Parts: sequence; structure tokens; C-alpha cells
Amino acid sequence: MTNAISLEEDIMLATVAGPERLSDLLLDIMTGTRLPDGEKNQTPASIVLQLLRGEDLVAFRRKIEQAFAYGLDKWPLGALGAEHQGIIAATLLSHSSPSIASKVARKLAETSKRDAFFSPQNPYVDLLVECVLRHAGDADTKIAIVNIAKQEDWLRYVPSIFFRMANIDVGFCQFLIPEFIKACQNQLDRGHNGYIHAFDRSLNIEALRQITDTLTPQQSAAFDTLFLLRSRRFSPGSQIEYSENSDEGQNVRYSVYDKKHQVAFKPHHENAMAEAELQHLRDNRDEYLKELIDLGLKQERIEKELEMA
Amino acid sequence: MGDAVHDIAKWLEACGRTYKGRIFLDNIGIDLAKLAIDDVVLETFGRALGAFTANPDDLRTARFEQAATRAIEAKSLFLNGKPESSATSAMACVVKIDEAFCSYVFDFTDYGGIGAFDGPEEILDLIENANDLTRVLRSGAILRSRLPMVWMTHENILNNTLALHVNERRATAARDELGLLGYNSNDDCLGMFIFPISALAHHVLRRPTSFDASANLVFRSNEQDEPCGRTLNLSTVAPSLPEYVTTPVSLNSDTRFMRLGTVQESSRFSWLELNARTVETRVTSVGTRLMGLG
Repeated sequence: MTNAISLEEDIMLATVAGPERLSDLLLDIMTGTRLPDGEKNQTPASIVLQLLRGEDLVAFRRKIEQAFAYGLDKWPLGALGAEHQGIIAATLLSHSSPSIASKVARKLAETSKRDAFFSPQNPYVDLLVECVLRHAGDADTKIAIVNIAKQEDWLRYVPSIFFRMANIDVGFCQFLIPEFIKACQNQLDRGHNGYIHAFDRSLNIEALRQITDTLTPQQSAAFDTLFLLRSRRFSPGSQIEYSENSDEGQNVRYSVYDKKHQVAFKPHHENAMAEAELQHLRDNRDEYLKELIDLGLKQERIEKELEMA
Repeated sequence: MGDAVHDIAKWLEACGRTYKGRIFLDNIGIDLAKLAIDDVVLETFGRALGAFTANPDDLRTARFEQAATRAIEAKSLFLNGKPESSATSAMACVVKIDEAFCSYVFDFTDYGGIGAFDGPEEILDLIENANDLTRVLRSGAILRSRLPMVWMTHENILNNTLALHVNERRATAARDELGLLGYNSNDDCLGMFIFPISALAHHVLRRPTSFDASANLVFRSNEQDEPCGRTLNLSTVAPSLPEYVTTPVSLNSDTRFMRLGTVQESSRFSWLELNARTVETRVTSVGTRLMGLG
């Protein structure tokens, strides 16, 4: 009597047989026809994720990745439900090879079936956005994802995209800031300010500063607001009202009102900007102090030279 | 090893050559003897199996497990165990917290998306500290397995059992006590959802059967006259905590969440040891009946 053949053994045999055979097996795994041991209380995506992260499979990872790339050309992706598309997302996420994952991510973003993959009805859509942005190495793929994200239904995913890109591509920050502001507004309307805190944690502020010259006036206003919102004045529990108005000159103005502290901020207003600048000075006190001292020394030297002349 | 299955006779032959197959047939024998399933269910399974195994084109990679799984799913033979009962105490469902599961159940948009977390432990922190679980739950979230069903046990019994272990070992103990072989990596993070009686008012709890477990779960049909199953303990391979299966459960403001922690070690479970407890006469008798049905 022999023991039952394990799925790992099955994968090994299929690996030897080539990518076509292996991609067939992967499709069987994704559709639940071939399962590993012990699926009790596990979602399909978790099962696949667990399988492909198994230590025994490390040596075959590259082969599996190749089979995925091969299978994506011929699997009936459009016919698979959201659940199975999620499995693919989870599997992509588990890949460690940037080159192949980037290839698969690009394929997902460019395929005519991408709307189904990136549909808000896909329960794994967050995961898919994460893994595509993490692995997509080329600008075209990222632009494709951003364009999808800019659709109205996708506003809620913009912060994830923003955080993921802000640290990598400065150019995309410019692209995304207005969308990010809208997402912040939606969130603040619901009484949350998690984006602002996440923004604090992950944003490459210096990279953002570098793009300020290239912003349109509208983007610039949004940018100012973002930094103002970022101020630690908005502690959790602050009740914040946020509004967007167009004046006669068609400039968009953003205004923020902190009910808790009874303070209004109008970023495009002189006083508000002064307030923001003051806050920046406070945050960077030592640096400014040094600059002032340097300036003072320089001034002192010039005055002495003038006296001597 | 691993022959493709082309008819019921071959399917039975493949079952007989594997530990899992013999255990699966033996479980069906127990279910029939204890009236957890009836002859009609067995007949439906046999005929579905016959339909699958008669068509080699449909069996691209078929082994006995795949054929059984597809027959069970095609005829919805899961969630039909008897007897039926209602929840009389709070029930618990243990789950693994990974990115895939979290994406399915939770909505972390307000926290910068799932990518804003450093790992499952950080996610556990957030979920556990959320005073209102609904703030992190996806709208309309449900809890389910691959099949549309959930495995549960009594919360108080599970907690009393886990209380015998130090905190660091609770996840490992839960994994072993509930026969969760799928949560077998050293870094699997586990938590449990707890449902009060009111949350399960419209749910029928059923005794799990061999068809609920299929052939890929560590499972032993209950030989006792009880309304529940008895989870197989992965350490002792002996009956452990009571368990039930039910339809997918909504996660909402009634639901509580408790962290169990990280699994500390892989299970020592072996199919060989479980196979030693199968009864040859039951395997043979179920095989004979299936041959007559296909």
C-alpha cells in the first residue's frame, strides 16, 4: 500500500513535464479541483497562498511563475468568477521574483479582462492593487492602474496606490494628489482621518517638495491642503469639516474647519498659509535656527566689511 | 501511484491503495451506521462519481480525491449531515489571518489599505483593538470556507481547553485540538471569531460527515451517538472537541474577535497513524455498495 500522492509531489511531476502541464495543474488548484490537505475554514485564496509559500516548493517557484505566465495567455480568465480572480491575485502577491511578477502584473493591467480583475466586486481587489503596484516595474503598467483608480468607484483605493507610489515615483505623485485629496475628503466626511496618519507614516515628503513647481494652481491648492491636513493639530477625535469651493476666478479653494478646536483653516488664504509656515518652522526649529545664525554671521561680516570700506 | 481514474472500480482501487482513500471509505461507513447520512445520499454520491469517472475527458488530472471532490460539489452533498441542532451557547470559528483572508473579510481603506501594515501581527493588533469590529469589517462580510460552509465549536469549551496552555502555545494548541492541518506553518497567525447564540438564530448546526470533509481533511466520522462531530486532535489522533458545520455566517456588530497568536511548530500528524484505525470490513462493504450504484 502506498500513501496518497501529495499535491507537492503532483507539482513536482508536473514541473518535470513542462509549463503546459504545470499550468493545467495550477488551474485545477485555483478552481478547487485539486486541493492540498486541510482546507477547513480557509478561503480559496488562502489555500493557494499557503501552497505556494510552502518551504518545500522554493526550488520550484520559478517554474511555477513561468507556468502562471504561460497560463495567463490561455486560461479562461473572463469566465472565472471574482473568487478565482482573487486566487490569482493572492498568487501574484506570493511571488518573489520581480521580473516575472512584473510581467504578469503588466498582463493583468493591459488585458481586456482587467475590468473584471479590478472590479470593486472582486473581494480581493485590495490585494490585487497591492501586488500589482508592488511588482509592476514599468511606467505603463502603473499608469494603467492609476487610470483605473481614477474612475469614481475606485476613489477608495487611491490612498493605497498613492502610498505605494509616493515612495517610488515622484512623477506619479503629481498625477495622484488631486485624487488623494478627494479620497481624504470622503474619509473625513465619514469622521475618519486614517489617511492623514498613514500619509504621515509613509510619504516621501522631500520627493513631494521637488514636484511643487510642476503643479497646476489647482493641484498646488490641493497640495497645500494636504500638508495642512497633515498637521498634527488634527488629532484623532477632531471633528473636521472639509469643503471645496470654486470662486469667480474659477480657482478651487479648499477650506478646513476643526470643530473641536474651533479653528478654521483656509490654505489659500494668507493667514492660513502663515499658520502653516509657522507650523513648519516649529517642526524644523533647529534647522531654521542654524540658518538664522549662519545668516546673522554673514550679515555681521558684511557690515564689518562695509564699515572698513 | 496516482493512476487516473476512469471508472468506479478504478476509483475504488485507487482509494484502497491510499491511506486517505481507505479512511474516506471507512468514514462513509460510520456515517451510514450512525444515520448521519442515509442511503439516498450515498446513492447520489455513487451516481455522480459514476458520471465523472465514465468520461475520461473530464478527468484530466483525476485521482480518487479529485473525482470524490467533484462528485460531492456537483450534487451539493455537503451540509446534509444529521442530526440538526441549534446553537445553545456562543460558538467559535478559528481562522488564519493572512493577506488573502483579510482582503476577503476586512476593509482597511481607512487605515491606508492592507499594504500599510507590516504583517499579520500588526493586523491582529488593529482588529483586536478595534472597539467596534464593524469599523474594520468589509460591508456585508461573511465567513466561509472554500465550500459555502463554516466549521465551528463551542466557545467556552475551546477557551477552557486553551486556558491549559501558556499564551505562546495557544495558537498551536488550537490548531491541534481542532484538526486544522491547513494552518501548519510556523508563522501562521490565528484568531477566532465568536458568535453569540443570537447571531446564529437562523443557522442550523449539523453533525459533520465524510462528505463535508471530503478526502483532503484530517477527519474521522464520529462513532458516538452525539449531535456533533468530534474533531481529530492532530497530536493524539484521538477524538477531541465537538464540532459542527453550518452555512456561511455574517460578520457584523454581534461578532467578537479574539487573537490566538502565532503557530509555533508544524504538526506531527501522519496519515499512516490515522489509517491504522480504519476498519477493513467497513471499507469493503461501502466499496461493494458503491460498485452496485455507479
